[in-house]
Order: sequence, then C-alpha cells, then structure tokens
Amino acid sequence: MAPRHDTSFSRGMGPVPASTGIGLKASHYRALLETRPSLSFLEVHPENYMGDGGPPHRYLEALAGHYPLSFHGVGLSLGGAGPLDRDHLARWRALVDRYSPALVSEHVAWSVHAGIAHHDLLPLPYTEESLAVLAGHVAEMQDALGRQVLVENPSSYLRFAWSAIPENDFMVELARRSGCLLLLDINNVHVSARNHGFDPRAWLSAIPAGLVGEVHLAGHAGIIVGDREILIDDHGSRVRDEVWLLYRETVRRIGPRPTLIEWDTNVPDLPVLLAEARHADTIMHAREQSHALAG
Amino acid sequence: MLSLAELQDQFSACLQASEPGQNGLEGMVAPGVPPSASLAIYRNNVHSRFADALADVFPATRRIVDDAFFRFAAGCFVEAHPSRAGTLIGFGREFPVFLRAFEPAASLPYLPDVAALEFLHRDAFHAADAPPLDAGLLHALADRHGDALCLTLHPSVRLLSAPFAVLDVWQANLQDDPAPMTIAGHAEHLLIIRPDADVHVRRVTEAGFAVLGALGDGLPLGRSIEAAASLPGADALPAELAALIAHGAFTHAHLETRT
Repeated sequence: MAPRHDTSFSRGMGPVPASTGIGLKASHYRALLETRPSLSFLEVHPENYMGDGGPPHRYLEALAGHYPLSFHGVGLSLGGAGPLDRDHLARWRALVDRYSPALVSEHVAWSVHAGIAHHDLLPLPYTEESLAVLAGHVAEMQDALGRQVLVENPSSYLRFAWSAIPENDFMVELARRSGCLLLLDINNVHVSARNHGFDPRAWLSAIPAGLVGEVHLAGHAGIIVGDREILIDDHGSRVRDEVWLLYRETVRRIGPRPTLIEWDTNVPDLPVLLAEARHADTIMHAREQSHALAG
Repeated sequence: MLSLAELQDQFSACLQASEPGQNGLEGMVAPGVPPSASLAIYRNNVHSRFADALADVFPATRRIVDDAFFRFAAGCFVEAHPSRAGTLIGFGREFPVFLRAFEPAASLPYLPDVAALEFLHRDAFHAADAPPLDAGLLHALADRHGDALCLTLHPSVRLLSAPFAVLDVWQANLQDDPAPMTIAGHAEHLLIIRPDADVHVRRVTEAGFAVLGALGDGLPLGRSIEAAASLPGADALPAELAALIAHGAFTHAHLETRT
C-alpha cells in the first residue's frame, strides 16, 4: 500500500493539515472570529493587504492567531515578458515577514506589461520562451521571499497556435526547473478542458503526486457566444458536480492535500462556504477510509 | 509566431482600447467562437474589474451620476490613468481631479469634491495605525510649553476643503434613496481621521483647518495659531484644539528646536 500521506507538499512550508480551507472575505471577518469554525487554513490575496494599516490588517492579525494563512497572489505577473515589479515584490516580502503564511502561491499567467497592470490573469503561449521567463520569475520570487512557492494552472478562453507544449507538461517542467510546487486548480482544468476540448482526466493524470502542494476548488459560470457555451471561472457559485468528481478521482490518486474553496463574487454567508468545505473534507476522508479498508 | 513581448504588447493594446476590436490576434485559437469574442471576454473582465474597484471606493459618486454614467466615466479614467501597481489599493487617487476636467460631468460641479472625500475616506482606512497621544498628557504639555510645542498629526489624518457642503451630499448619497436636497453653497473644511478602527469625518472651522495644515507642515503650535488668527473660528480655537486632541488627531509632541 502506498504511504497514506505524501508529505512532500510541506517542504519549506509551515504545517497545514491536509484538509480544507476557505478564501477569507471581509464580509466574514467577524463571523469567523466569533464562531471560529474548524478550518485547515484561510487564504487571502496579499494584494488586498498591501495598505499600511487599518481594519484589514487588524482582522488578519486576529485571525492569524487561530488559523494558518495562505497567501495567494494575483498581481505579480510571473509570465510577464518584462522584469518583475520590484516594489510589488518588496510589499510581498513585508507581508510574508509579518504574517509567516503557511502557504505562498501565484499563477501561471501575466497581468502587467510595460508598467501597466491589467489586474487579470491573462493567457500565455506554452513555449520554451514562456517556460524560461516563468522559471526565472518563479526563482526570483522564491529568492525574494526566501521560500518555496506554489504556482497555479490557469483557466483560459483562448490559446495560441504556436503553443507547442501541452499545458500539463508545461506545469510539470516549470516545477522541475524552478523548484516550485504546483497548486492544482481542478475547476480551472475543467473550465479549460471544456473551452478547448481536451480530456481533463488525461490532463490531471500526468501531474506527479509529489509536485502537488495544494488544490483549489471553485464554481464557474457559462456564457453563450454565438452557438457555443464558454465556461468562465467566476468563483461565484458552488463547486459543480463535474468538478467534485474530478476532485474525488484526484485525491484518490495523489492523497489528501490542503484544499481551498474559492468564492470571490456573489460571496454567500459563511455557512454556505463551510458546507462546501465540509463536503471536500468528506471526500478526502472517504479516500482515507477506503485505504484503511483496503489495507 | 510572436515573441512573448510582442504578444503582450498587442494583447495589452486590445485590453486598453476604448472599443472591442473586430479581430483576434495572430495565432489566437478559440474553438467554436471567433477569436475576437474570446479576446472580448478578457477585455470585459478587465474593464469591469476596474469599474467595480472604483465603484467600491466611490459609492456616493456613483449614486449621484447612476451606474451607466459611472462606468462610462470609469472607462475614460482608466484610459487616461492606467493602473501601475500590482495592488488596487490606492487605485483611483486621480479620479477626483479627472472628474473636475471631465466635460460630461460639468453640470455637477460638486461631484469632484464628493469623489475627493470618498478617496480620502478610503485612504484613511488603509493608513498606518498609531495610538493617539494621551489627552491628559498632551494638555499638561501644552500648559507647560505652550507655543513651542510641535504636534505630529495621526498618520490617518486627511484634510479636505470644498466650496460646497460636501459632507451632507456624501452622507445623503450613501443611502439607497436620498431625498432631494438643496446643496448649501458655503465652503466646508473637513478632517478625515481613523484614530482606531473606524474612519470619522468631522467639520472643522477654517481657523482649525489652517492650524492642522500648519502643524502638519511642522510649525509649532504658537505660530500655527498665529497664522490662523484672522480666519473664521479663530476665537474658539482653544476649544477646537481640545476637541481635536479628544478625536485623536495627534500622536507625538516635541519642543521646537531652534537653530
């Protein structure tokens, strides 16, 4: 029988139990502090805490006393052709020093070009050039923060004809070259698979278990363009059944991992998020039970 | 095949364009839909994220002009003042000044002042924390050293002077259905401050406003009061200063160093 826990995800990181956390929203600050539900971790976009002080830091400090934190960046533009923004990286460093988050992650995407920030996760062609740019920037981020980071696979609505490397191979190669781990966003795999017509199971099965340090789950929406439905990862609803199924299959293969329920638009009351988190925990737990039975 | 820099150059130009383009980019593939439609998804995401970010900072400004006009103004603003930071905290700093020169909003001369108040409110929200100076201690220091005392303003202090009763207009438009109101045409001087968790907006006299500005410039108390001596409110300055101390407007005191 395979080891029950693959512990490679904790290399260089603080202890995060391999169970479920939620994205921290300002509308839940008080309810979380008052009720302190059992959660593996709270994840924030560090960009929302790059002010000097005020209520955001007060609440984050108070909550950091009860939960491990995960910093999930959206603004560093690791895939940008130009240099990383040193000021932004310095703000990142100050936050990491202040809060010592258990997990630190960013995206395979670009958002800044020629000094202008688009504040969106934009698609990259999967080429040797992109790989070299990303690997260099991930290494720079890891050096600046003094720790290993995780990078997340994107969702996309278009791709580029000269993308020579399959996306999953690209992610694995990036991890190998830069020494980072992968944040596997299963909703993104589903969304991109539907938009581009590839098999999400084949995509996921090519990712070595030992490279996966965290998993993301979220809801998505569909919009109609012409006579076709395009999936948009709007993080605005419950996790869909197809994504739960992929999650179940993935944790069965790779084992439990810190898992995040992301919900960023139309944010519901806390109990709805907690119910989603419990569902993810149940799936992870079921996997452990099935192993116990098999063992 | 485009280089990564070329691709990002062209993609950025499409995102920043005021109208969605008719074509995709070279090599762009989007199964089953025109590449221009896929590109438009990204463009719409970017534009609505900026408009939402501004609407979050400027809720009363938005209510005054309505959502459609606000989004139109936001689009024009982003074109003129693109974001240059990886965080949206601080985004919109130039929006009040932009509105002052924004021809379609010229019929609402008080709009830039409401926007200025809203930005300073948000700015104070994110300002550094600092414990205000103990009021008893500060009064004792002032009694003993009087005019030579220099006072450091709390890091959250922001000052706004407007030619309209901007505070009433702002407060009324934070509600869902503001009652019709007559905008008082007198100048107003405001202190925006967050001594603890909550941001407060307080009216001050013209004299009190001038004293705060002078203290912020590093002048000692005596000269700050002197500079305000002829302004409305000067007679009641001792009481107003006591109120400012109680509001937590100061964090440090030191004696003027003469050179």
